Amino acid sequence: MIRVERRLETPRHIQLLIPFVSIAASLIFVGILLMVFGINPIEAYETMIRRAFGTKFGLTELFVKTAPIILTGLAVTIPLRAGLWNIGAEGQLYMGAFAASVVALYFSVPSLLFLVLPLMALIALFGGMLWASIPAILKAKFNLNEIISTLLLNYVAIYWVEYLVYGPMRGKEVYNFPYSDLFNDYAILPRFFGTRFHIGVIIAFFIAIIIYILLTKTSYGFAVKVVGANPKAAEYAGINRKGVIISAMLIGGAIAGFAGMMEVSGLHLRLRSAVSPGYGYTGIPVALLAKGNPLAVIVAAFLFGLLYVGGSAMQTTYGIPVAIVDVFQALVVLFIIGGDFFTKYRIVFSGLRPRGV
Amino acid sequence: MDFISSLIAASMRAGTPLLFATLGEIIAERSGVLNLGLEGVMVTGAMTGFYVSLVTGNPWLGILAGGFAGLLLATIHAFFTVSLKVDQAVTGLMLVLLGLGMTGFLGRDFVGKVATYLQPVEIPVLSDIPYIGEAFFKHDPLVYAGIFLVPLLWYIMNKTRYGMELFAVGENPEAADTMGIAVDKIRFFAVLIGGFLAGIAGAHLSLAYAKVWTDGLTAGRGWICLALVIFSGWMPQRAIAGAYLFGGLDVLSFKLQAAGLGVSYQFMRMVPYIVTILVLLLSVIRGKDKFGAPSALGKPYIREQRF
Amino acid sequence: MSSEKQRNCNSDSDSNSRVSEKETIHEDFILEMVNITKRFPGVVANDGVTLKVKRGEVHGLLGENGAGKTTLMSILYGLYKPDEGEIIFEGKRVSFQSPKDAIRAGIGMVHQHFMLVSKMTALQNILLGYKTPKDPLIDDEWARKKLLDISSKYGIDADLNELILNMGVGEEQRVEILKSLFREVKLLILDEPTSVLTPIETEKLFSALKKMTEKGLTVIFITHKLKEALSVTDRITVLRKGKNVGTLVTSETDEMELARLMVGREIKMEFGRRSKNYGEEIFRIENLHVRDDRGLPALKGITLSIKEGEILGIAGVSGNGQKELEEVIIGTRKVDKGKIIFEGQDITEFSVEKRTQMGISCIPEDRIEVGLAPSLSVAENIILRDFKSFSTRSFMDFKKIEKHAEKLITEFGIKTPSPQTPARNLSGGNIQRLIIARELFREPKLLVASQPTRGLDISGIEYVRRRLISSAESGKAILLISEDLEEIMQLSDTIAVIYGGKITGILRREEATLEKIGYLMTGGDGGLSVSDEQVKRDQNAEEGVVA
Repeated sequence: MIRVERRLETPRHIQLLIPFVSIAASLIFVGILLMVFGINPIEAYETMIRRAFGTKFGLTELFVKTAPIILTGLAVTIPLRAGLWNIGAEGQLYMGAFAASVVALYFSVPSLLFLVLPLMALIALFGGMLWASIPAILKAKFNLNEIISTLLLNYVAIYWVEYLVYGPMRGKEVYNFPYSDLFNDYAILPRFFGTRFHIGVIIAFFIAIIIYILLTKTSYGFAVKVVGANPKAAEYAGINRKGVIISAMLIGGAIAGFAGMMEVSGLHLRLRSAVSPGYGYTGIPVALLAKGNPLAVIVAAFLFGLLYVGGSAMQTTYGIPVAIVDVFQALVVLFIIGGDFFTKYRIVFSGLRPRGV
Repeated sequence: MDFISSLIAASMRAGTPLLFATLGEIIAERSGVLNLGLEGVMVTGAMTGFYVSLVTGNPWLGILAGGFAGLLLATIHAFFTVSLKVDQAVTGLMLVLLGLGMTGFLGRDFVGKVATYLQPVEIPVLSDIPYIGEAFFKHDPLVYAGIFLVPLLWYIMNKTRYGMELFAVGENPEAADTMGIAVDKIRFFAVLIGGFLAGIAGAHLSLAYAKVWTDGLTAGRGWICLALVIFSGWMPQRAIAGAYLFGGLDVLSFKLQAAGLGVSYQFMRMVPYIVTILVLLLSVIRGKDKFGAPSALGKPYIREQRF
Repeated sequence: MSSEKQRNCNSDSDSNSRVSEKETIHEDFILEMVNITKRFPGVVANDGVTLKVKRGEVHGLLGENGAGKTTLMSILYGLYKPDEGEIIFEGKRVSFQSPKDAIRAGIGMVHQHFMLVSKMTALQNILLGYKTPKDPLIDDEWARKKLLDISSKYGIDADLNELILNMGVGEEQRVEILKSLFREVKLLILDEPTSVLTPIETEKLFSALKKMTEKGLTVIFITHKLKEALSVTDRITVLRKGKNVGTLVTSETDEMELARLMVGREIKMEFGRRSKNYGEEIFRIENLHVRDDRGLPALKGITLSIKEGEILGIAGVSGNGQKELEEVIIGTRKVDKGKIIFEGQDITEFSVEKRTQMGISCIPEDRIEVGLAPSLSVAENIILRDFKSFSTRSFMDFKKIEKHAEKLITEFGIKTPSPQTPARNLSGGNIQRLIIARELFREPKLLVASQPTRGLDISGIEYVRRRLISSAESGKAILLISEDLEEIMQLSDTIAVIYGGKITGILRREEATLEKIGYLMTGGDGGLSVSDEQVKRDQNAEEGVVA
């Protein structure tokens, strides 16, 4: 007879194993999918790794794709520690991109051009923060489900940017593509190694470290932790619960906004539709894998960065739509939370119950 | 007048997928399980339905297949959230990703192909009434089915033991358990029904309304339906109003474009989502309706020991 | 209770004919739980317990909190499966997979925390899961008729059309009982039924139980209150630490013996207060009006005052505004009208943080929901309320926190593997010690203690009560909110009774009697002092009034 028993404590070794097993299982699943379409999965994965690590370009691409994911991972992690789901990182990213682009394209005081980049960063932070403030206030004041509100706002932000690049902000020589004009040099993030590796990548790392310190070493971080653990107890402990959840969302939104600025100013060099291939959503599995630790977010972000590089490699080589990356992401998360089940319960095989007396 | 009657007709057509999915989600949420994966389920139903109709030439097989595809995806959700008792929100979100990803991947071959679509059925006599006939009685059978589903669900939920047990399971599963009700079984079943209806909703979208398959056909309708569930206060009779209203919004943006009212298409695309947020806000501000959300919504039920 | 009650008036003739010779001796027992053992992670809740209940009796299951009474009955009711042992009901060996089976066999249970769906009516709750003749349709009429019969037969009724949401606790309990009576149970289990009743409601319940057993029903009555067990049962089984330590005939035993069995040693729960030096008035609330979560008035013009060194006890059954009173003093709930004055200052608008700094502490009623962050460590929970003072320039000083935690763990005897252990791993009693340590360490000037001994075992109860007394003796003002009248009587200097959001009376300890308090708990006359004659007069008049 099979029985399911609650565990007394969560065993460490299983907890550590789960992320790896989940990734492995997802690789196998996706591999099977590839086989169904006549593609040798080993070959495909090989291509992916070779592309990412084999060339200078590939390696820098890996970093370039990882950077925004680190930021969106943080954008999800910070509110998550306070007990909130920020599904709106994608929209906040777009709004940050939009805000930065406005400065990039329309700021034209000749003597102050050196200020443009910092200003873009600042306004992108602000744009993302503002976009996140809507669901934050709705949640704090009206207890409106933040998952649905952040999600709906994503669509609004994405369509807003689309509207702009098809219309008012469309560039002059872009042959009807939904692009804005190219940014001028003073609005472009400096690049290195003759590749697309821009300074934003390094900044992203620093942000992660700063957030780590904020969340684990400060009294604000403690307050966030308490609110996330038990909001009622937080109130009773004198913590301003509403203030904490709003500020956590705002910080997350700001970081996602900065990611948007990085993408338009460091990568695309203009505003366009499809600013991001879904980095905002990727932040969710990253946050879950990292279990709330901003440093682990860096590691998890690399994994997904690798996926994106591999995904585009597979598209060019085998013609597989990039959507396969989404499938992989979803599977990883499902396996992780499914695996969580085994940290709480244990399956016991026992014989018939002994009869008493 | 012509404009209005064709607007009504189009709204009903556009609103039917919304109606099916919302009703399905109402059933699931009434049992206490939140299925955020609605968007993924709908798009899976849409693609599957389209494919089956394409291959077999029978749109009804397509509709059925769409329903079952939705049911299959919902089974994953039910397994994780009811059997394994993991977080409902995350599971649902991943289901969306999975659904969109899988359909984008598998459906790429038949984007733009032409399948056999559902044909409208004219109700004899009634469809000849000027204007009203045009508006109400020249729809494909699923539209009529959707309308019929509302009173049926209302009756089951309010007048039968099944409905009472469903309500109890979503409000206070512990109490239901002590009265001998099989909480997990009911939840599992409710989620499956929800998935089936959402799958049909998707299939209707590809086979009767949009009459096409493209990647991400559902374009966020799943999220709108989640908001509609809240807006309708988890009551089937209120869902129909919201569904047709949003169907109308959808249609209106196209009509305005066609009438050359110079409002940018992209700009109009934002409108349904903004309206949805406002609608949500309204429902929540309306205050603590003493009925409101099922109290146990979103929380897994764990009796201290299992089996 | 007389032991010459009629038994076996409703013998089931069918089962009689099927009973074998070996089982004839069991005919007298409607229920036998034999050698039941049940283990949970880390604890043996029931250890080889054998319980035999005779048909038609009121059988008391007595034991302190944590002795295993509820677990045993949950096994009987099909909520848990025993690890060892067997159950024989009405002469047949049974094994229940779920409450469904228990109900079908004829066993009903009224749980300590009611199992009612608040958004449904009483009638719907009673019918939940029941297949009426027109199944799957719900046959309202048939059900109402049956309930009318039951009401007149047993003297228990409730407003069938009212939502549970709007009901008082006494009526809720009657709905719970009706659920079982409707299903024609042969055995009814009541888990701590009187903890939510006023003395008068308790009387009514007891007389209803008498009627039920006269009609052949068997009742198992779980309680931790000695006096009750003695007054309503025919026989009593005492559980201690998961074991059955004795079954006695009620008329042949007394409080001392039962107490000794329950605890295994002599208990002297006498906390005489040696010194009563009151200081100045330190805390006052004036005409306080407060709303509850639903927006309905919970406190309707409360005025109270406490002096330094005084223990003011608020007596009353839960649900009369105590929770809101606790919250409004601590600061997590807003005031509609009225003032809160502490040390001469009007603190009505002050934040929780400010009040804590000024010296107001609280042991909350909802220990785990409100007072603890279960996933955080013991150390983190200890500093929960003043974590800011453990940080320099916003950065947390972890070493300081650890040292402080270790100090409190030792001083207050909190049993935990380490300060880093997640707080949720602690036992109920130790969680309470943690909270008390946290609140008392700061030497508060006013301590609000809400249901501080609920659910604790005897040693836990002793510890808390002793601590409260010593706190008062060192000059702190204590507001004690408790449903336990004995506790109120033992510890308080002044007693205020709360009913329906109002203070129905304030008595000094010397002039307080259980009767007076009980009278005030059901509304009294709203006046501030009660005379004995008035109590007797009104008690006679109140027979038959639904509480």
